[in-house]
Amino acid sequence: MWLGSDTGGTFTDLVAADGRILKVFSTPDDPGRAIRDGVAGLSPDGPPDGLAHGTTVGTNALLQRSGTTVALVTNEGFADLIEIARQDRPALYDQSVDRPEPLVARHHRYEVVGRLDAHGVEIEPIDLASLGPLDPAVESVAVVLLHSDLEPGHEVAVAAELAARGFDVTASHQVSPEFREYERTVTTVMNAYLRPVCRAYLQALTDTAGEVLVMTSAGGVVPVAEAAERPVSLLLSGPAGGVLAGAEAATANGWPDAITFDMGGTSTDVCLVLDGRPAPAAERLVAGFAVRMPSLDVHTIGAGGGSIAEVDAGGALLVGPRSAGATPGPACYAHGGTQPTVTDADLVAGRIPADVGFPGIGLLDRAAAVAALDRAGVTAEAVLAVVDAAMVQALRAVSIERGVDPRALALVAFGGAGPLHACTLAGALGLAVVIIPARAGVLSAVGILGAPRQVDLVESCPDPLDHDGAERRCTALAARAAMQVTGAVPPQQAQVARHSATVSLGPANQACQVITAFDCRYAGQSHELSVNAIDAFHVEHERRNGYARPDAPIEVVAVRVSARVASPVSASSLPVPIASTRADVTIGPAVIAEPDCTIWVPGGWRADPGVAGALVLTRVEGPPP
Amino acid sequence: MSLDPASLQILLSRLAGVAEEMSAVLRRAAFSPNIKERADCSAALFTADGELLAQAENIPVHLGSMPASVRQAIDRFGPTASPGERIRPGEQIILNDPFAGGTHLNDITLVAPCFVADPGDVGGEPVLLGWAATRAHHADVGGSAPGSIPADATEIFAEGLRIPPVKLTPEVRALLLANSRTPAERSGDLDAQVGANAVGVERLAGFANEPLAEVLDYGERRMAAVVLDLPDGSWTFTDQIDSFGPEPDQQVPTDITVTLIIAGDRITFDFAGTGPQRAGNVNAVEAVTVSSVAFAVRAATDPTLPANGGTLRPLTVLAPVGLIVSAQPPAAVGAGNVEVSQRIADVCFGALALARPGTIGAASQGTMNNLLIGGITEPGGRPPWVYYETLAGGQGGRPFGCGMSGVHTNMTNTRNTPVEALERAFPMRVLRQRLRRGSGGAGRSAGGEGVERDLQVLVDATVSLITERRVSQPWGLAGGEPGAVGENWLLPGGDEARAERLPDKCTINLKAGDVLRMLTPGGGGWGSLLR
Repeated sequence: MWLGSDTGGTFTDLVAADGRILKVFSTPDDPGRAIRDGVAGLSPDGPPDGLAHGTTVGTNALLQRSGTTVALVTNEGFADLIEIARQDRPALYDQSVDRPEPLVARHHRYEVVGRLDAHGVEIEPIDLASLGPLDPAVESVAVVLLHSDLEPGHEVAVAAELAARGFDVTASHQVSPEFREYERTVTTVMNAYLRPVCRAYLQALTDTAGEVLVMTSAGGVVPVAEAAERPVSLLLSGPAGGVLAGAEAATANGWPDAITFDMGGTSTDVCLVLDGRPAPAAERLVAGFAVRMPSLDVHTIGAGGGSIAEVDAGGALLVGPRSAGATPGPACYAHGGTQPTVTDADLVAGRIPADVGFPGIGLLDRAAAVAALDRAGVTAEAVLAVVDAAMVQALRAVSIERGVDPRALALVAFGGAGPLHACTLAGALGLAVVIIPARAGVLSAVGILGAPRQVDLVESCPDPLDHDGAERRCTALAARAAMQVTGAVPPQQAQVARHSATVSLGPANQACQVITAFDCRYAGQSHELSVNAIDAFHVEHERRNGYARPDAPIEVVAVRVSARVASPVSASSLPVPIASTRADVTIGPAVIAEPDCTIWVPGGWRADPGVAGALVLTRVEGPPP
Repeated sequence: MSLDPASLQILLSRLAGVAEEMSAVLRRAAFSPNIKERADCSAALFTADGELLAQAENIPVHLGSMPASVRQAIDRFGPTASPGERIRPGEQIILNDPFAGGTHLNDITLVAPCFVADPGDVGGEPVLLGWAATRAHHADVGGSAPGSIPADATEIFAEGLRIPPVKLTPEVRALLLANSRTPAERSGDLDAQVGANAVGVERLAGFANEPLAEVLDYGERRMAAVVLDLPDGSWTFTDQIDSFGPEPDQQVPTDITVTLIIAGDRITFDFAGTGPQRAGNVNAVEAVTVSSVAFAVRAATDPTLPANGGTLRPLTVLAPVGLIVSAQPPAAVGAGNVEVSQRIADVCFGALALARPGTIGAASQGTMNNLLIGGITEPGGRPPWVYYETLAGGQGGRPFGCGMSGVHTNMTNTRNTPVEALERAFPMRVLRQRLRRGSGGAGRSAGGEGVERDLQVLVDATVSLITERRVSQPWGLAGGEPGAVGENWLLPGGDEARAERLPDKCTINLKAGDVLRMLTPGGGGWGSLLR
């Protein structure tokens, strides 16, 4: 038996391969305790075969600045790279918004003599003697030398020296072997900063199951030992599970093109899915830092169920970005909140039934919600109209602004508030259908359980105009990724077909899919497009940017591969939960209350049972009765 | 006020969404790094009368200056033009003339009309609903030096092709391309602007039945509330531009003086007392001045003020013509946008700090440290290359915290070019790029530090520097010390022993192996160290 688990702020959700689900309270002082309790609950007769789990331990350590003391070693003259960053400020007008404090203090930035040129050729040999003693308070060291994506030799030498001195060392070519030194530095430093705390947490989990896997930002799982080495790859794994399961539910119901819509308490995540595959991103901001790791292109806005509604000095109704959070929470929680929130409006407008308990909260206080709205001088309908308009903008940003017509997409709604708002948004943007996956309240855990094993690799190309060289580099990299993900040993036996081909290899004889991509641009550009074949660049440039330059030389700056082995458990083939609410057709207006999820079916909409326990919501044909 | 709070917010959010979408289309489709990566571009929507409805700006200097472009387009081709001239659906107007709605020649603005069917006259003439406009910094529009901001220009004619408001026809496009050193790049960027405007026009048509005037009234109410909150009175602040060119007779300062007058919910910035425009390129046209004032007010009071024309209604900018802040033809204006704008923001902050002490920080570096390097081209040799960048410096200390170090402040926010990207694309090498320790002004909140950077050219090249605050210091406030001035140095062959100091503005030839050293200013400190 395999289990999936997802640790949230309030609850730790677990799901088993036989379809059972379990919610236990999270234990922020020791997040592993809730997981062990949950695993014991679903697998009382001993450890299960496997556990795939998502963790926010690294993310929390970053937000709370509770990582270790890190030193940074750079080339001579570049110690402050980590502070100068890309020289821009985070807010154009707001003078009070600072860049995040660098993770390396000034007195922990060290320089070493030695330099490569723009082709990775040595100009000045590395001089380890120039690297003096490090402050004994330092535990972990990041080594970032210019052009090491082309030639890691200098970094290897420095890393070996520091490892011999007893430090925990991350070298930049190990975590982000791509050009643009600031992003590589941040990613490397972040890994060094988080590794001790993540390693301790993950090692304590290794005996909870026969095999323990960890969800990454890229939407795949890796063995626990690998995750412990590269905690920076876990930072954005939070929303990935839900996106994966949402994409799979949409595909199973005949909608491989969709937008996932995960509306929570303080924020909302949306992600475009094309051909069943969530849009990838190579770099994302985490706590203000540009972290360069493969991840899903999730667009987040600061509005959710807890967002506070208020009228500003000019007479416009704002909803968010201020949030009531979990404490005091919305007024209807009756935990001391006095300002009206989206959840209060949902309750007063009848989208949430007043007689059904909220997990962990109990019955909601409708009178308190009404009073809060009255005090602010706004109506529930007004609050909902404004927050829905903000959600529509978020959906537009990932569809229309990327050249995708939303009318051909499904909206996959989950999270606490997603299924309450989905139909209104779909109506406003003309999306054809709303899909509420089975287990919408624990969807992230479902996605983690169904996530493939995955290895993502990238390599810089020293000569961007050498296309044959890039092809060879890509083939070799694909073979390496396939071996890593399957555990196959002899490189010669790896027969890897590229471009999304499925091949069998290795002793485990696991079906492995390798997806390859080339980061291309026209000479003179500074921005790359990732395409699956160099020849496809002109067409893709035309599609994305409106024009192509067939006569201009194409530069290939990097090759990427992603090797995947499917999970033994398919997220859309879990046994369907027995929910009588989903067996029948529901005509709106109606509220469908489930233990972990509340669905609002407005007038003019109907809900039908779909594939794999999903509900499929569509507009009722013809005039309403 | 006829709209309820929710409907008003939704209308605001939809309009802002259209501007953001235009901006996304523009950046996605643009060819040049300047627009795509540095985001030196903006997109906006206007009413039929040319009042700003919504704007997505990545560069503050575009905020208050776009309306001037649309004003000129309307005057020339709007409803009052002769029938033969009047703009028709599908046509667009192009302009960059700083003396007819532009800022400096690199900033090319495209303006497109949005017509909708008249609901009261089915089958009749379509009526003008509003305008969509985009502005982008084009890396080269001709002139005497690559990059079109020659440091030694004394008249605008040296700065490139000047385009008054004209319809963008194939002929006009051909003329423009023929005058740029990088025509293919220009063509791609123009296409991106045309496309973004087309999207804006299509989306704006969906607002035909909306009360757009409400948006402007809302902006006015927000701004009036902010101004009412400020004390009534009058305050004067003076600062200076250090020089207006490389020649000895250009190395003299020019004062910028502003008098801030607050009366109830009206706010006025009067630049009487400011020095005259000069025979150099360090002159700003009035649109740049309005932008800089609007930036300072927004940053000093409420950063969430909406970007619309109503916000500008309670604000008056007075500048007698012919000053360094209100230049007239034939002044060169290339550096007005990048350097004068910074000092105008400084004096506005200075005056606002007098009006409301304890809320505003000390002066930031006050320059963009513009650096343009181009390869000397020979027949059969390396193709021509141009590299433009601006360097960060120190932010002023603030009442609530120290200034940030190595950061862009006030009127710009463009990112740097990564060292690895620079070295792989150009025959140059960065030898050093660190914070300039000790350059921030001391104070209870210290000023941020500048940057020190050594750039070596690997081939012969020509460099233009346009920098400020090499003489006057970024001021401290409330007892804080000023920040260090910047310094420009040439190290022939990289030899420290032969280092020679360069003026703040110059164009010089470099030999392969020469090193250009720039030390950028620190920010002023805030608050006395003595309690």
